[in-house]
Amino acid sequence: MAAAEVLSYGEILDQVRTLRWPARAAVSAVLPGRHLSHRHGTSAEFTEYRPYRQGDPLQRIDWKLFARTDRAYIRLSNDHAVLPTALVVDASASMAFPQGSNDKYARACSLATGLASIAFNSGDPVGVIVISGAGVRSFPPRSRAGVVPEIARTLAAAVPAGTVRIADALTAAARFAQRVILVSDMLGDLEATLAVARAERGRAGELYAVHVIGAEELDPPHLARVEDPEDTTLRRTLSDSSHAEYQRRFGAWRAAVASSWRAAGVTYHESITGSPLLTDLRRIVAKPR
Amino acid sequence: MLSFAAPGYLAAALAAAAGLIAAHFIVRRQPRALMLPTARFVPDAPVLTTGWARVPADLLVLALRVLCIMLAGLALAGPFVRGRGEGTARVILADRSRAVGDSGEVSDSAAAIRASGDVVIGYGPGALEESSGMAAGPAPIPKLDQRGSLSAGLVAAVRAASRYRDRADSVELVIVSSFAAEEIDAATARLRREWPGRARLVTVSAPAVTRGERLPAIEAGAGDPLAVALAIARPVGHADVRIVRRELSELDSIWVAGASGRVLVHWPVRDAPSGFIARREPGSIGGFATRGVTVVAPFQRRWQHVLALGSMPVAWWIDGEVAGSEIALGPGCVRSVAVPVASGGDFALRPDLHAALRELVQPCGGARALQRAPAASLARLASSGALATPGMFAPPDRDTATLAKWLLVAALISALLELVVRGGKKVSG
Repeated sequence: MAAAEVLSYGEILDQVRTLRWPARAAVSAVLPGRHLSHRHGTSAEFTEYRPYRQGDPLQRIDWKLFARTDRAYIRLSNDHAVLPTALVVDASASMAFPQGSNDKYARACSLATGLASIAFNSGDPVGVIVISGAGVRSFPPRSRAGVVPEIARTLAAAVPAGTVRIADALTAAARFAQRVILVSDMLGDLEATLAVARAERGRAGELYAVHVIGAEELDPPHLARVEDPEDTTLRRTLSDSSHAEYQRRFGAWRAAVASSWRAAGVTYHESITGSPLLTDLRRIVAKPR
Repeated sequence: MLSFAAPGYLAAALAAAAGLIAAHFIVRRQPRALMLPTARFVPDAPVLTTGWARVPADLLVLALRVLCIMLAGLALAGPFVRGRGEGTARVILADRSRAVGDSGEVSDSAAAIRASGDVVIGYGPGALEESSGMAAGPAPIPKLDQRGSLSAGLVAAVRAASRYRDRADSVELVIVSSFAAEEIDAATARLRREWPGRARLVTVSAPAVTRGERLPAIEAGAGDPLAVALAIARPVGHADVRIVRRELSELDSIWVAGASGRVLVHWPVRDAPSGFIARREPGSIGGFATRGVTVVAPFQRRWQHVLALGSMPVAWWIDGEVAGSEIALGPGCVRSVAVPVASGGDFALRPDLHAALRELVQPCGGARALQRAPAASLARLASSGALATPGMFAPPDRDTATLAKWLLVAALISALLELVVRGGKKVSG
């Protein structure tokens, strides 16, 4: 994708400029940030006193209290930390749909760029892993200015093709991020990915699964000979009589996917191409009630 | 010029070929291909769509199929080559029966009308073609002392007309006759309709009608009941009639042939009449009929009629079996009667027997009705409108077999070529 494609995200970035992505729970990151940390630090937000123990830094003793009580106490307060965020974007052949426009991958890129911008604006480092049949493009979460355009360029440079192992990318992302967002159509190694998600749920702070669905997949032509782009031996014929059954089967599968992700403790959202992007982004970053 | 004996087959072949060409525009094909990542959710079932092609597929196969159908249709249509006809031909019916007074007048009238290539058919009780082809000059027309039949003449005329399909534009029917009432029967009007054009009626003179005063002679024993009945009935007529109650001999045949119009009535007492054989199981029957007269009485039926060429029934038992027949013998005829006449009782005195006797001693061919036929009958005979065209008549037997055979061979070759071409396309495709 050319530089012009990156600039086309300007509107998205402008719309999400005011959105923030609060952490679902206290984070355990070390670097200071906006999110409430598990650690108690030296911030102005006083929470409690604790008796001095050997090994505590002497600078943290509250000397005024010592003068009043002749006892040494350490002053504790809430600390805030960052939430390193990683976006795992599926760029397999099934994302190159419909042929020509590649709306599914474009949607995935828009979602990833929007979420990256929101996370960055929230003070969190952001990174990306883009997996395609041609290879993996990635960089770990960064806080420097220009990381969002860099993510956009990385996404634009990838060409959706081939078959990928999302489970491996998810495992890698969970190593360096505490908020991992998977953007995929879930038509690849779904079971393996779910297994990784269940395993990494404890370590990673937050896991999100954004299911990208093509509008043409929901309602394909009533008469066509269809072929799976990732399995060319799979050929079927759609007709008036089989169209309803196709929709029933696809709907049942989507419901099962949603149920599986949620059962794994992952925040699951669907994003259909053609629907308002901002609505999807707001929904993803909103704190659950 | 190529013509067809059964052109309907050609029309059917054309219709079949048109249907075949239309069918080649219909194509069954797979629907358009599409990449769909969620193809796994589509039920697995084959589907073909039907559409119309702008250009029919397999033009060579189509051409061979059409050629095969057309050749087969041509073969079944019975093709033959015929010449182009010109002018008007004539079929002349010349009356040879007893209803004509002067046979020479008939000859002259026919000769005056006849042109080269016309056909003259003489008719009496039957019909016989007297001359045809390119022969010139009047044809001899012998006269028969028998009742004529226009029905027989018309049948022969329609058959003769079919020969002009290659030689003339139109065909005229000419009837040279006295048009006696006795020549028109119940079938004449129907047979006249078989000739679709108008006819020309040429009237010749009928014989003078004289009152007959001859009594039939009878050779019988004394007290013969038939002789008694004959004496009472006194059937006077024109013909020289002899009734013989014994077995026939050569002298009887000589007598019949000796003069024109002699009638020998063979009505034996005990022996089988001429033209009859003994029945295997004699039986009784309740009556007989002859020419409008019915006699109801118990009879012993001992003889059975044997059908002979030229014989004509003149009496019937009430169950329809022939009880009496007449057959021409030279200028006269022999009339055989198988009705036993009881010697006892008053049977010989019965008026119905006398009436039957009067009918059975009529001249050869039955009673004469030589008066001119009614005007309505003659008008139907002449009809109106245009002359008939040769195409209106059934075609003569043509030799269509030779051309049809080669056409069928060509059709078979086309069919084999089509199989080869189609098989080759399947292998390569």
